[in-house]
Amino acid sequence: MAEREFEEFYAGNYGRFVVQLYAVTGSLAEAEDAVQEAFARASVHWGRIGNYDSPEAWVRRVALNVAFTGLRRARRVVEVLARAQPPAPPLPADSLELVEALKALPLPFRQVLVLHYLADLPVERIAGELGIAVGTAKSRLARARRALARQLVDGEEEVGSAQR
Amino acid sequence: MRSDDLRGDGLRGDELRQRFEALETEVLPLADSPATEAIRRRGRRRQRTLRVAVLLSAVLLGATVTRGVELWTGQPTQGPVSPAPTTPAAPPTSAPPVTPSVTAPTRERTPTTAPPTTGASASRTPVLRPDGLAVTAFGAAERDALAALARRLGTPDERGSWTGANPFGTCPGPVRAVRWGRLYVLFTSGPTRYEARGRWHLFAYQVDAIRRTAVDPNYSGPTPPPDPPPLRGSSPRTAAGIGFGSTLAQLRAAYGDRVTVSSGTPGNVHRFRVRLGAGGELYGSLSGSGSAATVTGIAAGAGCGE
Repeated sequence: MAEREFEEFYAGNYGRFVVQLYAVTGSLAEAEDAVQEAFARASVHWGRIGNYDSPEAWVRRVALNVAFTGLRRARRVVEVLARAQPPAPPLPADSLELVEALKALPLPFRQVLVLHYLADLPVERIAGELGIAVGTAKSRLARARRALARQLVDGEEEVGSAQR
Repeated sequence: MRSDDLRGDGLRGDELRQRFEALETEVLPLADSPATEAIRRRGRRRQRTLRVAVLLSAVLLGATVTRGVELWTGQPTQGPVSPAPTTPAAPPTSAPPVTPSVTAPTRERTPTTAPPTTGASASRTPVLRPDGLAVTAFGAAERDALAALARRLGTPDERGSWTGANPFGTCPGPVRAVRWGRLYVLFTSGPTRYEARGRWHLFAYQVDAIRRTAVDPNYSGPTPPPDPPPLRGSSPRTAAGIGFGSTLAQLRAAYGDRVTVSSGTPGNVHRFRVRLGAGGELYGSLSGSGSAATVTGIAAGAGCGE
């Protein structure tokens, strides 16, 4: 029963999580690896995680942690030194531009934008998932959207106070 | 639209949403989705790796703790041990001088029941002999004796110096004490049967659980200070394996009828004495007079009276 539930959960969410992680990390390969790792961990403890209010939030958080651990960052540096950047996925120019614009933003901005636009979460749940106050989530989202819009329009970058 | 929740920023919220939706639509087909079983295998593999890592960590931690305990017992700190003994009785200082010798025969027997040991450091501690500490004999110059002991035991835990009364009793003269674990070695420049007045020399040792020198290294008051917390640490043993914590039964098994036990004053302290012929004698205190009583102090040399 639990196995069946996990299969359904995996089939229904894997692709979405990869998109979300791609938007945050800017690398499709890394996004896939992080999401697969998160699902692998979830599969071992599915009896417990499956009973959470939001297993999706757990997997997404683990995937983000995996993607941004120091170990993986170090590995990324090694990969960059060892070879050229992997080719960008075959996407239309608009999408590639969006991903590049996101990469130029601070991580908290990317997270809040992805949770809002791709995970389609209300501000209250964004706040819960990021462990911040609702007001903070609202203001961060507003500033993130502004920064992204500027980035897309003129390549400007809003810096500082991303953590507020 | 969620962007309605965030009015007032004048952004093209719908445009942004459309671009994100387009991104999702375009990336979804590119997401390489492995079979569920492959994901499960990856999870199990990670679980096994974690278990091995935890096991290895536990082994490493155990080894580290063991090593730490060994080091600790070799260079002890304070801790609870047996009740503190009293200062062993001093042999008459008027006894004729004898020539120190590290090879003096002792005719010791191994006890039938092995006494408790103190870990790996026990093999590094010098053997307690009636004429010294195996690596150095009574009468040896202070500098030579300390160098020999330091080679075996490392840096001392503490040192003390007294010119008048001292925590060890009434000694032949000024006293310097150096401690490694429970072992105190005592030096004096006063007259002893081992050396004439004037030269600092090793004249006694004692092993017990009372921390004497740490209270005040410069203590020279009229009476010993109150007993501080007892010591824990390495306890040198005789060649027959007798040391701090050995039972009276083991003591008798090792030395037979050369052992005498007396109960006396003050404090109804039980003492033992092991006469080893020309080699000298060992003496000390016991926790009682029954065969299960344990050695609470062991000493040799021209000890200080009380």
